[in-house]
Amino acid sequence: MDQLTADQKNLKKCISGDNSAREEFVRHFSDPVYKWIQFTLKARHIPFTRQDLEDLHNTVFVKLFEKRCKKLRQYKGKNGCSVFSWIRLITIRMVIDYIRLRHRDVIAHSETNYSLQNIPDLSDGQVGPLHLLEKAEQTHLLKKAMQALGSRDRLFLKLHCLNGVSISKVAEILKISENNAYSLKHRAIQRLKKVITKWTDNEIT
Amino acid sequence: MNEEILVDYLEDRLSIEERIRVEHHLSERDSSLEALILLEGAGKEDNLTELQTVPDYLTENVWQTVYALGDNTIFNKASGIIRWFGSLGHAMLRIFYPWKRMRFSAVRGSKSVIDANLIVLKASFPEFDLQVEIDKIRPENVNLNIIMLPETGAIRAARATLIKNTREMASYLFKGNKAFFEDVPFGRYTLVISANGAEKGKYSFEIKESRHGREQKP
Repeated sequence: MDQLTADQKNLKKCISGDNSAREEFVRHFSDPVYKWIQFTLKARHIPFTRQDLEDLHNTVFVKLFEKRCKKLRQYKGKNGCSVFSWIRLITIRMVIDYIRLRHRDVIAHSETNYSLQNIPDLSDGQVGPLHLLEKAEQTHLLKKAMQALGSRDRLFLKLHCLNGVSISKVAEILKISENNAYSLKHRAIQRLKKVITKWTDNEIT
Repeated sequence: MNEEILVDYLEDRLSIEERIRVEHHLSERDSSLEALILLEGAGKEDNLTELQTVPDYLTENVWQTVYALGDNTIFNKASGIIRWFGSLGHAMLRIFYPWKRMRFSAVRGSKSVIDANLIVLKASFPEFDLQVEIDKIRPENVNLNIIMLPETGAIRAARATLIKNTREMASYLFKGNKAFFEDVPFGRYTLVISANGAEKGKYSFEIKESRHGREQKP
């Protein structure tokens, strides 16, 4: 069995009720959690006050330690996931939930600002299937069409087209080369075109 | 989806089958996808350098909150059950022996009994005097109001820690010259006053019901 890291050892002590371990845990993660909260809010262009930061900061630690450290007990680390990264994702998820409760849904928000610029082949101006779609229903239909694609194509399009993630970053996330990412983009768009063409042909006939 | 799996996916620790499963989930769940994108960004130090550092008071407040959450060990739960039986026994005793009315008082180091439910203890230390008001709120529980005197000469950033046996039960920073412990069960305690990590005073006392008590004459 691999040796436990310092964070993992401390986490075990926190769960067992060691107050000095808990204090060390709080002091160790207080600043990173504070920064992750700010990063998430700023990345999603959500205005916030110092009070919002403080409330969220408090909420993260309460969630970790309440009910006899129920959340902390979920950590297993079996694939080598560090406590640090795990807490980072928990913090981000909590801020996302806060945003959804207090502000409009950010995914829906990004949908309304959706641009076709990232799918040039579909918007090339030539007579084709896109011209048969109503502009107001474009986004809805595109999302519906994406559902007909394979999960990898759909994931790519959601990352790059809906969330505006650059090709290089998509390549990093999907663990592929940038060349492969461009190929993936081209193939995903071609398949999307086929789906839309098939639908519109069915409508016409 | 489990947070660890998403982190493992991003940090490339999954098998091919697991990656396919996660990618399918991400293609279906916008919230998980959003979290993943943000996780990737938040993991880069450059993105965090210009952000505000957490203020010290906030860390302190969070620590107090976490401390107050405490832990419900089996020992604590068992102690609670035993105390409940104890209070039940006292109640039955009062029914059968009504003339033996219990009086609330501290036993060790007490200075004055204000009334049956309020006792004030006083202790002197080199740099300050301490006043501990013990206010009974339930049959087996009290509130403790710790006051550092003189008010104007109270030590800055002082902390009051309540210890039972060798275990810290609660710890609070003084607000001005006062610290407050709520809903403290009967028992023997040691109150430690510290500042900047150095111990300034220690005071042991016991809170319990007793038939005896000195009354302060008006």
